[in-house]
Amino acid sequence: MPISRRDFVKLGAHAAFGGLLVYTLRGVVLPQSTPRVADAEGNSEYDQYRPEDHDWAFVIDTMKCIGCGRCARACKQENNVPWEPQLNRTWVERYSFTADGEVCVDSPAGGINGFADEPLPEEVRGKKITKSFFVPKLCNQCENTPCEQVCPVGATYKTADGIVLVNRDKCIGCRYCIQACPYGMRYLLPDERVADKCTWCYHRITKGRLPACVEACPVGARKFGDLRDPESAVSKILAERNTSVLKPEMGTNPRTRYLDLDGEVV
Amino acid sequence: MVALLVGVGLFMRTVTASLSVEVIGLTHEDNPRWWADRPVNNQTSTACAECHEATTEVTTAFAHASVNCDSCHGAAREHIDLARSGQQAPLALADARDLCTTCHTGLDSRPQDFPQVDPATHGAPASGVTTSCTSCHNPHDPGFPPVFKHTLEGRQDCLVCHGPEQWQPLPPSHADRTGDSCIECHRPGDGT
Repeated sequence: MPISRRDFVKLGAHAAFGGLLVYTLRGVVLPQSTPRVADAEGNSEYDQYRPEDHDWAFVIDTMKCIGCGRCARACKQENNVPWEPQLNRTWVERYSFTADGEVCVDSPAGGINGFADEPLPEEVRGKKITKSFFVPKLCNQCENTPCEQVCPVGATYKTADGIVLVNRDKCIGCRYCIQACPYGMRYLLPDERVADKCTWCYHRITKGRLPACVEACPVGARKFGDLRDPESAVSKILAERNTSVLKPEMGTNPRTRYLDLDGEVV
Repeated sequence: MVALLVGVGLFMRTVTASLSVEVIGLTHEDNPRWWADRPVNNQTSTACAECHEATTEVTTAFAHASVNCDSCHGAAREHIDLARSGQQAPLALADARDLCTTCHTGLDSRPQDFPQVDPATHGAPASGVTTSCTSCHNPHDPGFPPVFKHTLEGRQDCLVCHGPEQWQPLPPSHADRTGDSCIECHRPGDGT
């Protein structure tokens, strides 16, 4: 059946309008996909939590990290991050510098098994290592949030206490945010087909506990706390010591800060 | 036509991007709560102490005080939930040597002041008797020198480890003594 150009354009316009309408109403009509975890009376500890009263910050001391990977492992267990495929909310990188100026970064399995049995990458193996250290990575909870800005459906948002979260009921799995994050912190959950990321263990910090990775770190390389509390470890570090952020040129203004960060770390 | 389409597109974008949040109910109001209500899987030593009081007390008093129980024993939520309801739920523990070496194998990248050993030679006496880390070290109180918890069981000859040139040689004053008489003075189970 021949179709005129006018009919074709009209059809397209209707389809586009219909699609947008369905998409807009989707969040209203569809039920919440995951039930709330609360006690029998429906009470949640979150009722007592006031996000406006907190200003969370994270400090990583790269000179303390021993690369045991307990943080990355604890995170997987805490947040049910899939073991396969290899996805990580947090991981540990090993930086190796050689005398001839070579810099090599490796992070086998995100460091969840540590580095004790991991040989150095081939390009630096057998060479004299002049400098080497570990760098733990996790979401920077940027103040200027690229992942939030690119989300076409507003699924990514920032809480009043500064944590960037993904509303799984709104996420359409388009992966724009995964492309937009300068730090590679995001991934697509293979089963749910929604974007996922480190939440600084929002379910723990809102209950007055530490993120799982902080609690798991045996050497205190990860510090977490509230900038509203001048006595907190992070407040004191930021007041007294030099810290830096990853990729400052991106203008993201991260909440995760690093102590003694080598200039080569990206 | 194009203008109409662009207009509709812009209008719908306004609806989805801003009105959706405030007017038609597509808010994030309940979503932080959804995240906040996720179960806490990794537990602190306080929870462990409910049943394992003595072990927790020892661990938190010594060099491994900063090591959370779950770091070696795994996330304990299910274990604790089941235990509280009176059920047994043993936590799987990886081989002790793997656990210890995860942190204590010598690596260029590790801070130099962190205790590190070469697992191939450390604790391996010249006699070739292989030991596991926990033969000498109590993982809950690893201390240095290690607190000996070993018994005579399975050890026929004290001098395998305590002979000359071995892992823990006898002091010079003991040079003329033989293994047979060790237990006349020493009680290995007591670490004396």
